[in-house]
Amino acid sequence: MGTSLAAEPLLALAVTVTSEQHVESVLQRIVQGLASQPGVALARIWLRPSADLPDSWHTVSDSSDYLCLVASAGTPINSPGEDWCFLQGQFARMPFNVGKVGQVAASRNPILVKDLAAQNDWVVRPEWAKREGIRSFAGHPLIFRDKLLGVIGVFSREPLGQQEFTWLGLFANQAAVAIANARAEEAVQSSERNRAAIINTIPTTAWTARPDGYCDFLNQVWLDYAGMTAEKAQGWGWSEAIHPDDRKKLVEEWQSCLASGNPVDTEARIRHFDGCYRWFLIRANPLRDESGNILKWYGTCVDIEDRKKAEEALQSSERNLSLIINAIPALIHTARPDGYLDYFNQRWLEYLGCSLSDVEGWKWTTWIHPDELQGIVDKWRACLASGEIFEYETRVRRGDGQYRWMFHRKVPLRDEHGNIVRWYGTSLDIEDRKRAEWLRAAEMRTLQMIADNASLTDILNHLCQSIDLLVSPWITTILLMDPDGTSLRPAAGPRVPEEWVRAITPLPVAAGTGLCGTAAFLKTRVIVPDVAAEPIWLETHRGLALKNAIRAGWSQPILTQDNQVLGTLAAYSAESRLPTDEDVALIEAAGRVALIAIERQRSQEALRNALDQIQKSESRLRRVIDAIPALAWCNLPDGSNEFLNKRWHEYTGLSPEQSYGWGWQAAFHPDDLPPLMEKWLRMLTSEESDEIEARLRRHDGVYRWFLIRAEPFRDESGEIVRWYGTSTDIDDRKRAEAQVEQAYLRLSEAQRLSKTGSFITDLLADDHNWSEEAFRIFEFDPATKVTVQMVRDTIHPEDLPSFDAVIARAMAGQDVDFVFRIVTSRGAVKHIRGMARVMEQIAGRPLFIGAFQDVTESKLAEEALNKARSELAGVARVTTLTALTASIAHEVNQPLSGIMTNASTCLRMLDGYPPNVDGARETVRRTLRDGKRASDVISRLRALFSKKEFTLEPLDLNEATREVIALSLSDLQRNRVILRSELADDLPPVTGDRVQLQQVILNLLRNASDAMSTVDDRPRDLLVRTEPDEDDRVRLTVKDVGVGFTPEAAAKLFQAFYTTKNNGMGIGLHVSHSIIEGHHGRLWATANDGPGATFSFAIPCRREGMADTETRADWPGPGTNAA
Amino acid sequence: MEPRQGKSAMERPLLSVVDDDESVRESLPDLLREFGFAAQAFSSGQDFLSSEYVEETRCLILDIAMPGMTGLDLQQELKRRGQKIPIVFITGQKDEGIRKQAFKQGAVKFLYKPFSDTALLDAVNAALQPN
Repeated sequence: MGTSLAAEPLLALAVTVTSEQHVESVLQRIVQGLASQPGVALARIWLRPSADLPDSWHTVSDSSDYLCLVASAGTPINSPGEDWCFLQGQFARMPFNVGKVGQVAASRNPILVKDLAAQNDWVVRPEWAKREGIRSFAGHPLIFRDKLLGVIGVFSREPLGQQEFTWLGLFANQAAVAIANARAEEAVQSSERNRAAIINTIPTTAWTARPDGYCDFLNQVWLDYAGMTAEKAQGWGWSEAIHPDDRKKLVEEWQSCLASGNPVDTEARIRHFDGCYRWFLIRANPLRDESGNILKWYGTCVDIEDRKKAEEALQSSERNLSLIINAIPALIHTARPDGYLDYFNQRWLEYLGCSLSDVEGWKWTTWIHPDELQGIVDKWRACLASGEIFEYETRVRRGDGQYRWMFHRKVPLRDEHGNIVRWYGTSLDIEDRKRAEWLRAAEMRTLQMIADNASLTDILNHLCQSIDLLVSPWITTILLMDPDGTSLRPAAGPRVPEEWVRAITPLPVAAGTGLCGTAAFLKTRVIVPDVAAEPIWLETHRGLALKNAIRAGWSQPILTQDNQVLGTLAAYSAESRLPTDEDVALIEAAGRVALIAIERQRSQEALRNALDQIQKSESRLRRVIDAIPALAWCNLPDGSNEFLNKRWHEYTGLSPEQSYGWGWQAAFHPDDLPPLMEKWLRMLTSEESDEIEARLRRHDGVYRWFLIRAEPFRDESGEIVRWYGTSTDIDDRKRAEAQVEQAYLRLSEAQRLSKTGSFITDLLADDHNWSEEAFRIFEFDPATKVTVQMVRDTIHPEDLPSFDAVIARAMAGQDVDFVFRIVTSRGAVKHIRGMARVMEQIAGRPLFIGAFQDVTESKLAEEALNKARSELAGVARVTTLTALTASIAHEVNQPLSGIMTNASTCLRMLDGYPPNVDGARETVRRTLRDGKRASDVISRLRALFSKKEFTLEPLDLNEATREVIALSLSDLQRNRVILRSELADDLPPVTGDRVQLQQVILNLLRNASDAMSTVDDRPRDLLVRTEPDEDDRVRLTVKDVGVGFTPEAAAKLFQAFYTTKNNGMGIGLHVSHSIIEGHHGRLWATANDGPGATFSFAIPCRREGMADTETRADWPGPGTNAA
Repeated sequence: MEPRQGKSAMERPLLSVVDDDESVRESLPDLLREFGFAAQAFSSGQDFLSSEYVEETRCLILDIAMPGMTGLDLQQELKRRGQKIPIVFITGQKDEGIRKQAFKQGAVKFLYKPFSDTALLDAVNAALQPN
């Protein structure tokens, strides 16, 4: 058993390993090298986990507390199929402190297990060690620069002693260095790769060069730009792409930098592949090693073409600008971003009369008018802050001390980042424009004041105020010419000392009478540059003027177009001076405005006077019109109203505002307005005068008729310019007319109703004025002229003699009454009754007024009535028959029913056992009684309906009444009438026709029943009473509680056809009345105290010696009715 | 036909006759008694209503046309009072309107005067039928 591990092979192995540049190779070399040493069974390297990750090899972290098996080599001798180079498996990860390897890693101390069999606790797999004959283990930490990289472990079949253990430790140190070196090398290579990738992807051209200047790399952007291949551009080939003008300079600069090691920073045009050159900024920096030697140059080329162009443009424009600034007649200045004004062009300085040092920075503010100073400074500061364009108007004091309006404008210039680098400013003299503006504004305001009817003093004062502001330090005043044209009086001048004005006015208009007096006299402008030295200045006023700070002055006469002097406009200055052209122009313009104001005021005055005159004459006219006792008015050609006189307004109560235009329509009656308008519009069209009648509403709402006349008024050309009209109250006349007409209509109606004709006749002249009805009666055509002969021709032949006699008497002038018949053209016979009276004598001839009446109908009616009476009785009988049938049936059926019942009972009683003979007898007795009762009913009816003549016989009224009650009982019951009869016991007999009297009683009962048919709120009580009456009479009374009758109706109750019933014929009471009269009796009606009516009749008692029976044939047969 | 004495007065159904006609009041109850019923006669509806027999009456033989309260009025009044007495109407006047009205108000039979004893018995028997 010799020494297995020797020092030399290990050292040789260590040298070999160190020259390897790749970590993987280093590890493989180590384990394989070790495994090939004699006795070594297995060699392994574990590294901390970051070692597995090539990207992170340079950042090994101490925090990793386990190791990964990264290399393994060895040869099994007794474990067939095992691959000891396999890196996965049980020992692929070794946590610190676990096992021998973990122990080594955690402690960073090597471990030697000389005899694995003896130190069994160190072996994880003892059977493996035994099987493979492993005797010893040595583990060493791999430490580089104090950092634990991993552990290297060796299993040996030969025992390892302290000597071998030490050698392995030395080897492990060398191996750690080799691993670290290889790692570093890989890291460099990796970063190189990354760099190239970055350089090729960045959107700018990039390149690298060796220390000698040889360009070894140009990125794809560069190559693409220049259209060159890498080979062609390499070395110095790139210089072909450089603009020929720049190439030499660039190469020189490059070589100079190569020599000095200074960074390259230059510009050059590089040719684009399309042949165009663009400017590039070329920059390069050297990469040095630790000792300062240049390893490599890294460079970029940035396209600056656009910036370059902008710069060039700026340079050229700046060049141009300075030329412009010097050339143009403008006031130019510039300012720094902080607002410091650093430049004023020459023109500006000349204008201000100073040098740049007097105005630069913020000193310019002393030239600004105090009124605008704060404003412009605020504005300038605001623009500096916001970067907005600055614009402002101020007055600026010129070199001669005069302030002039200027418009300032400053515009910021910005760099490519938008930062302001400079402000460029211009200023414009806008004095003229400003004055024009002011003047125009003053004019406008003045004109506005004129329009607003401001007083002339206010207007002129305002004008002066405006001018004073503008021409300051001048102050202005306006004097106005007296109407007589001899002197001037103060009108305006708010800033002119009052003392001065008072002293000089009224100022005579003459040569040499001071400034304004002279100007007004000469009608031209007068200028006094120095009051102290002016000859025209009144000596008396000179001192006062100077005292009031009036040193210079000039006056402008205010002249009309026809050269009339209206006044003067003067300006005073506290200093001796001449007005500028501008001042003169301004004052002249102001003078024109003043002229307008003054003329306007004068013409207004004239107008006012004229209007006063017109108004006066108008009011005179109006008084006249208003005095007219008619409503007068004036309308425009279109028909609308322009004027209505006072009376019209008083009458209608409408105000002129209400009636104006078409408002007057409201005053007319709504019914009259449409025809009125129609006619009025027709008149407007026809242009003819006409008249209309219409009702006009009075203020109290009463309508009165008016006659409206309208007349067109034409101008010279014949055009209608106005309609003049009057409305006259014709209401009284109209009313009278209407009354007459109505009276006539009424008369005519009365005549027609009464069939009465009237006439006025001049008989001798055969002149007849007949009424309408007179014509109608005679059936003459109303258009014909009536003659006596015409009348005579219609007279019934039988009556002609009497007619002729009447005419003869009338001819003699006597009043006549006449009755005759006429036969009309249609053959109708009419009975005429009339009279004629002498009304007056005309030229000896009698004038008759008369009337006649057609009495034909009354004559006919009389005859007809008599006829109707007899007929009606018959009619009534027939109509009642049906109604009575029911009563008859009832009356007969009642006893029949009794008969049958009794007979049945009788039979049953007899059939019984034992037979009830007593009962049967009783029923038979009842049967007989009922039979007689039925028989009585039949005979009564027969009597009632048999055609009997009027028979007077003695009779018992009670009996007759009972029979009637029995007959009508069912009827009454149907009507729910409760009948009570109070028949006097000791009633004397009467003489009469039984049937007729019964008809009367029946009639009265039925009337009473009908009168109660609507009564539901009380019992329908009906009382029939008989009693002896005075004068040997017997009275029968029927009293009901029905509807009764009114007092007015009482008189008519017994007239034919009078009825209060809806379905009655009205004949009953009339006939009853006749019957009772036929009995020498009386029938009357009285209204009850309570509801209902009482009808009574009284007839004489039978007298001794009177015939028992009397027959009269002049009365129609009896009749009942349901009237 | 049962013998007259077949039922005691207490057991016989009471029939009331209301008619203003005296001959009916005389004859009809006798006949009804011959039939074996108990009978009472009244001259008016008011008389019947104020009598002690209203509750006891099993059938009412009622005239239509009577002064004051008519037969139909009495029929309605009984109905109003909740008295359900079967009614046989008898009348001397042929009036279809009244007949219809009577049936509408619940009459059992409607007989025109004069009527036979059998017609009356049929009517009364019909009225005495339950329902």
